[in-house]
Amino acid sequence: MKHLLWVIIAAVLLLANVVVGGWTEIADLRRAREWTVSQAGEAGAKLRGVHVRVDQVWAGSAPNLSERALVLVRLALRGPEAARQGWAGCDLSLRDAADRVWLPLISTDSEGAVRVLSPDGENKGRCNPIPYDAPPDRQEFLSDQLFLVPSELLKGARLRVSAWGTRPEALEFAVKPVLRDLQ
Amino acid sequence: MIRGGSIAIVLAGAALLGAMMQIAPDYNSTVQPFRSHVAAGGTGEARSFRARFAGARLADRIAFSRFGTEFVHDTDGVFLIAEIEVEATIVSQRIDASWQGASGRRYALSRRAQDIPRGLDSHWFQPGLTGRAIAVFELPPDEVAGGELVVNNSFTAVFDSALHLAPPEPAGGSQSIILFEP
Amino acid sequence: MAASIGVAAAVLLGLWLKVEEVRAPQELPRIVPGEPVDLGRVELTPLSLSLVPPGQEGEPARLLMRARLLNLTGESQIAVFGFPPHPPELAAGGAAWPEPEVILDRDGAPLAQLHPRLAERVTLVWQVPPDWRPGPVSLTFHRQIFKLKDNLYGKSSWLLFQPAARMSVVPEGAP
Repeated sequence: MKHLLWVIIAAVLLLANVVVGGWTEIADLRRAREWTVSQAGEAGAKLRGVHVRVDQVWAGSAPNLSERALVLVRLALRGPEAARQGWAGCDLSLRDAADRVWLPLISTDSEGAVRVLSPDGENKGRCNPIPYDAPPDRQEFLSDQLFLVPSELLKGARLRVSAWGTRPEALEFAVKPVLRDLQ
Repeated sequence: MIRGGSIAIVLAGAALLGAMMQIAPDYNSTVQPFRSHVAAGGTGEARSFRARFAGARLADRIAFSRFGTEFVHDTDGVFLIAEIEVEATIVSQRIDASWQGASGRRYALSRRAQDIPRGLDSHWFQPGLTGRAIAVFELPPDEVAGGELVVNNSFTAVFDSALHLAPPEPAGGSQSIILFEP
Repeated sequence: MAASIGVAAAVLLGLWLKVEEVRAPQELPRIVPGEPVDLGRVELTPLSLSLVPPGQEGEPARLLMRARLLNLTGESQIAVFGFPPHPPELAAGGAAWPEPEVILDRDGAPLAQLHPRLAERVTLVWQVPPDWRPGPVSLTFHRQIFKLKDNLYGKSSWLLFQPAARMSVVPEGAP
């Protein structure tokens, strides 16, 4: 009888160990994966208190490298500061029908390319939901991210937006780039 | 009699355990990338990218400019400059390369050639686009022939694929200096 | 009963070995410039030690040790003096100096990496403390222990550091 008690205690502790260990692993995995994706229209959509809208998408190819295209996504965020705090580490990616993923370019060369692609010649910087010069809560603010993709992706790409605090939830937008001539 | 039997059982157990210890693979040989060997000029398929060893050159010195400063580096060995063509297949990624010399020693990318134009360490490869990047190694000349280029994911090589690419052709003679231009 | 005696004996033996080690401290091998010393990942050969007066007013003087480094492992090393780094420890009058900077002579830039079979000339640069008066200095070299199969996972690991050699020398150029 005494032995049985020990066996039960050991089993309970083992189970607790598995649950605690597994819970942290699953929580980490949820923070890294976009499992619940909601589709958003042109007017944008709200996720965890922050309204997200795709302001403009421009694309361009160099004539001698027509198989590759640069895509500039200008994103607009709006929301109260408390909600935007939860949006820290906002991530964007482009996807195709086969679920291949393109991440934004982060090299120093991309800075100049953004200025060339955007018609106003400005670079609004990477998506940062808590900028030091944040506008009032009701106003939108913009960010620019540049992607290098195969030209055929311009026919139909989807843009995923999520953040550390929103995952596994994410927003998805259809991307319709305005083609620009890069002569 | 009973004592003899017990001793025999203990000895047999010890022998069995000893044998198991001898044949069990150790940590270093179990925790490894999945290697695949690719013949010269061929394209290798890894889990998340495909890569081809496009060309190799040797140089006694390399020259490049970084942030407006000119650098010329020399070496007691030789610089091996490998051109690699890579296409990501799942997600935009970076890759890492090392040279496994003829003696089996591993030479990492030379940090003295960091930030060269089109350098592998700063290059992101995109799905659907074949990118070309340069890997520079610094090694003794006799490690070149018979060596191979090892290419893997830049974050975790363990339990992911590693391509062992044979060099395209004997790299030939060594140039006195190679200049890297953007 | 037998097991308890065995454990007690093992503990006592271990304690005795430790006591013995402390009772008779092992004298470190003394080396002179030109003699190589094995530091685990690299072999270091001190070549010369010299004192350099400050280049400009207000800067500290510098003590330079020219040395040759050879990677003894089978792969390129970033941490040539181990991790955490244990570069040669310089002491004068019993006080240890801050860690030196390691310069690759070929580039005149910090040493970033050491490849197997490619020996490099390096310079270790110490900033001289303001209160130091030129005289003999002592250098202690540490070796990091390598175990092919460690006790935890049976994997190869770099473990503790142990003093490997000592060198006493009067820097050249000292007035």
